[in-house]
Amino acid sequence: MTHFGGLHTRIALLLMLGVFFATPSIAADTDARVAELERIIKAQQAQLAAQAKVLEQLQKEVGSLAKSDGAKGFVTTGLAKSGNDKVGLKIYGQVNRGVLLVDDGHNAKAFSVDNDSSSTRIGLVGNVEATDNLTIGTKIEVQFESNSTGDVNQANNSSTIASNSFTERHLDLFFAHKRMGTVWLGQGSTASDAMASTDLSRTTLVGYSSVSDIAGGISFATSGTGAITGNPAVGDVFSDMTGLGRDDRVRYDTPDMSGFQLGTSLVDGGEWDLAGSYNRDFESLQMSVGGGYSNPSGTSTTTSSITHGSLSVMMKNGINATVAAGKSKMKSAARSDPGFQYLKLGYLASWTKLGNTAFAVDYGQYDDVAQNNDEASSYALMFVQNLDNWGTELYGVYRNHELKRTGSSLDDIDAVLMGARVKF
Amino acid sequence: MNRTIKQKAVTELILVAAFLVLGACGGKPFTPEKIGEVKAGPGLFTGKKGGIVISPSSN
Repeated sequence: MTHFGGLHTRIALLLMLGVFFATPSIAADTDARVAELERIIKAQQAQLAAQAKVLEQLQKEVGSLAKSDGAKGFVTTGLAKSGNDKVGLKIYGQVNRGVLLVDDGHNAKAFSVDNDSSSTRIGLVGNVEATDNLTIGTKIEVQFESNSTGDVNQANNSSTIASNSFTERHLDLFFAHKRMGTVWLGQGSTASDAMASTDLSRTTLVGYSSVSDIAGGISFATSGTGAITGNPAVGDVFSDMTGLGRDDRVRYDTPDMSGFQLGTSLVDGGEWDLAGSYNRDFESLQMSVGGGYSNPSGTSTTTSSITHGSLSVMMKNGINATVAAGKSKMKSAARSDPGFQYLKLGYLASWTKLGNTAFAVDYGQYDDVAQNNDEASSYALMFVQNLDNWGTELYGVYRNHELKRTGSSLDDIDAVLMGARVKF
Repeated sequence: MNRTIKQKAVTELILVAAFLVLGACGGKPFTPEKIGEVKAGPGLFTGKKGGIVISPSSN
């Protein structure tokens, strides 16, 4: 036992000596490690501070990019900001192409087309915040429609059918004051433009009150013979009487008053219009109303005035409805006043993370548009699938067109359009 | 004729009043997408910016 006890004592002494002599080196090593850790922590703190600054700058930029001027019809989201944070300038555009299948009751044809509902185009938009209350801006936008759905017909499906070049849409400048409203000068939408086309269904790419956008150049064929010579085209007998459309004008819009806004335009040639709109987002639904009165008599040889309006409601559950109507007053007493009524019912579904899917059916009645006693009607089934992250929409529509004309027997025209719109 | 004008005026006043009443019912204004125009939102190539931003000069 003594032997073992002596052995234990010696081991204990050796360990104590080891600890005694080793402690200074461990302590030195620990100090070095602590110093190293402090250096790393300080470096990381500096890195975090730098990253915080970068993040703050990015947040500022995102905030400025998110600023939108949609009320004026401009696409300003994503505008660049200059060093003084007052100027923005952006190029934007889209390609909208599809395949149009048409059957006039005697012949069926297929066309590679540009969708006239929202044509292929490119634009440049810019603005500057001149003061806290005043913004000055410009917009140049041109379209290039090769084989427009509004122009292709049974006799001609070549790309030379219409203006095979750039055509104007917006060549415009504006002065927007927060309290006094906006003055526009140049080529662009008049106040009454599209006031009969208010539509929240998200299916306007393929169907809205202007039903002739999809197959406007296709002529009705005579029953039995199939002849089309001298017969009206879809675009001749369907019209949503869209006010003064886009033109060279001076336009004034009031400021937005809780969703209510008035506007007026004076167009080259003496045409003028008045229009009002109301857009409000309630707890259970969105509502959009538009109406206008136009006087094109300064340049039109046939029409003295146009009155039109539309109402669209989108409920939070996706069910939506749209109605529109319009009436033109003709200059000639012998001519009946053309008019139209339009109804659309739709549903906006969220079935996939890719984007909303919109469905709709519509029906429209268009009377006396081309001549007295014409009764044209159309119905359609349509869908639009949004692919949000890719700036793309896929769409399809089937539309039937019917025309009852005194002294003529004309077959219906069926049209199917499938395609995609890609915003670049 | 005068009656027609009166009727139109009354109708317009009713519509304006209806809008004002609706405006007082809550909710908030919004800007609907304008038919035929380029859709707001991201682009295929340009991402969230929805267009090619022309960077200002460094000067």
